[in-house]
Amino acid sequence: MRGIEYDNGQRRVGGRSGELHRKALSDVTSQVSNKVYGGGNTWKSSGNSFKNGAAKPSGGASAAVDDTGYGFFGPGGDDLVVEEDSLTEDEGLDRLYSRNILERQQIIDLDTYAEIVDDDLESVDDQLSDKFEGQIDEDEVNEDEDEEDDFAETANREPLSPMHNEEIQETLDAAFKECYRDTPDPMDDDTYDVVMVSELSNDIFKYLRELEQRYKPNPYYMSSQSELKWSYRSTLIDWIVQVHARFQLLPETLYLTVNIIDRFLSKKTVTLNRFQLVGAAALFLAAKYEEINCPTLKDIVYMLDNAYTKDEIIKAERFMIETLDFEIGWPGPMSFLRRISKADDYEYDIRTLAKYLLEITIMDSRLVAAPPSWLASGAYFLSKIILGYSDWTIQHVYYSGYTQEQIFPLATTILENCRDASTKHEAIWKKYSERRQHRSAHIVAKWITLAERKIEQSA
Amino acid sequence: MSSSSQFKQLEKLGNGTYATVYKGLNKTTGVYVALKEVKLDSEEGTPSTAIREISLMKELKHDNIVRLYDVIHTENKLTLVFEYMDKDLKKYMDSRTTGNSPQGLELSLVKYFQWQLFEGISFCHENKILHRDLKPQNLLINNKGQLKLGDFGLARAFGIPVNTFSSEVVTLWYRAPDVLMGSRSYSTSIDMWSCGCILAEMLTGKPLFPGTNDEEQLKLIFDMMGTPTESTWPTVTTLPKYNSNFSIQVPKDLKKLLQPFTKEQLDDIVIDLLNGLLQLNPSMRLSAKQALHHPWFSEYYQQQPHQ
Repeated sequence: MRGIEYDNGQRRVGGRSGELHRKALSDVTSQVSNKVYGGGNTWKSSGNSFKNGAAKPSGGASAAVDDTGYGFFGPGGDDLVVEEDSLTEDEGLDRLYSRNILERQQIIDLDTYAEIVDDDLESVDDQLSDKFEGQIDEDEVNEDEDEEDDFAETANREPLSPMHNEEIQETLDAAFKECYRDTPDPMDDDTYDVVMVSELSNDIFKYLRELEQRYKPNPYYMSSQSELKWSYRSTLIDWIVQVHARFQLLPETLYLTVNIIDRFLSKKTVTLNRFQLVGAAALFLAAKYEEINCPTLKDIVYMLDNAYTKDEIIKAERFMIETLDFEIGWPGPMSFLRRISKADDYEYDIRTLAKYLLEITIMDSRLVAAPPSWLASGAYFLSKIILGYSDWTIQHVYYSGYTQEQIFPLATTILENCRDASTKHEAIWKKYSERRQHRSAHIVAKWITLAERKIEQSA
Repeated sequence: MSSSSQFKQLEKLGNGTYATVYKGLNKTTGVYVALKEVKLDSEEGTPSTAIREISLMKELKHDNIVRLYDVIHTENKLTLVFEYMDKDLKKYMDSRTTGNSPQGLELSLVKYFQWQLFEGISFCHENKILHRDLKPQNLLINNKGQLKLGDFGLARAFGIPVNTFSSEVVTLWYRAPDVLMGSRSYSTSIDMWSCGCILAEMLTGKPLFPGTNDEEQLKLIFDMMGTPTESTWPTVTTLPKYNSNFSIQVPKDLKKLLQPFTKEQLDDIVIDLLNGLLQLNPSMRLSAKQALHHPWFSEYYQQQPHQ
């Protein structure tokens, strides 16, 4: 399995530094270019494999029910070994966070945390940049990295979803009973704000919760994709994030693009040389649905570095629309995020930081089919913890629709994904390191560093 | 998905915002349909208008919204197969006009149409969709007196809070004053203003504010409804195209202005509804839900206890 990867230049996918990452992309692109422009009949043949993908050996229909082989992406025993390794690492992480978060002891005492930040902000900053630079240098010479990539594929990738039981339902019902109003509250500013549509908001959110279920991708689709791996999806989304930022598109467009990609891949198998085309067509389609001013096809071709022609993108878009049966109206997490923050009177900092924590969920293959309302709640809850508010009141339960018990595991997963942020989600890390995104990524990284130091000290 | 050979294309019914509409016959069932043909641009692929119209209309199944039966996607065109309606409200009103003096419809018919318009738009809003192009040409009627919303080419889904959208929406005569002044943070109230214009037009048979450009349109509105001030509409002066030189007008008596053109005597209740819809300040405008509960419709909601 690895041998093949070395040969086709794919081992750098999901690369550990900017340079390697770019190389990975250009590898993909040049490979694609060769295939597209190399032979006379390429569109026809690759187009066929694109379209008739469902007929491939590991058929899509069975994937949803057949999860017995899940977690083993390649033949041979190698994967097993790697998986054991990764489990150990996983357990380490688990111990680290379960002791401190899952069992609801604060990772660190918040007062002490505030003190450290006040006293030591500059030095932490330096340490941080050293740490991240060090990491990148190390990685450039580190030949073990493909093991890391395999780890990403073979570690426990079971899809995550909110748990549910009677006790949880009771809490949800109690919150509803306490907070629900049939008519808009005359004391609430939202009642007088046309864009809050408060008269309809209860009904609309109920409907959005229905829609998020209706337009859910199949979380097991990768097992029927013979040429793709989850790590390639990460690379593709990393590229989408960059293009999306370059065009200054709405966050809604980014989430919708990812949903379209995942729903499309849930229904069709795609060859590697068409994979980036899927991403580009999905972005084009999502922008047409969401944006006032949509990027032109010429813009998209430019961002693809001419790897595909206009005609190919148009055909892919058409095929994608038909595959999704024109059902584009997936709600996305942004409205849910705003809704939850009503419980804190729309506190700005919590929501701002949550936007970063929410965005990184698009990189995690275990969250492909997770409902956006849950993702928004998890990101919001973690943001609160990082900013020193640990309460999840009955209002939070009501406006989010989730109890603390339901979002704790998700918040832990998001936090895990924030470790080594600059490599795990490079484009998002860069974007949220900018001033205009309030350097949210740095705030989280700092907090993790401080928390870990604190844990070491107490150990 | 059907194939295009299933339908026989008959006469042309009109041109929509981005397409041509033909009458069609379903050869297997013998049922008439409306075929909306969208030419596919080789420059930009499937138009965003078509993507939105189709995806939104798939969500909207209601008696007062034209039903989308099917979509036929071929190499160079997209055909939307809709429920067939006999005519649109504009043509219907024109057909009722005698000579050169337009006259409104009977009050009972106006009430029935307006009720159905509110039912349809209320359903859109509850399903987080703005129509953004309500006008008599886009309201379709059949021989049973049913009225249905059509042409969702400018429609779009909204989240909460509603994002800022383009202010280049709604046909000029039916465009709300906040949008005319460049507001982009509008919401469901944008459709309610249009509903008010349509109600007046059904009563009198002529458009309420037939402006030829943005400035004239605002002038016509202010002449009748009064010029807004910070006290009648807080934040109005901050709108991009607010002009402190707007001529100052006081609100006129709508009943007096409309009465000469109506078929029957207007009562105060319908004028109250009209005033509620034609509120300049969007946050004061009636919502579709509120309009359905307006006393003018008491005979309808008494028949429908679930309302």
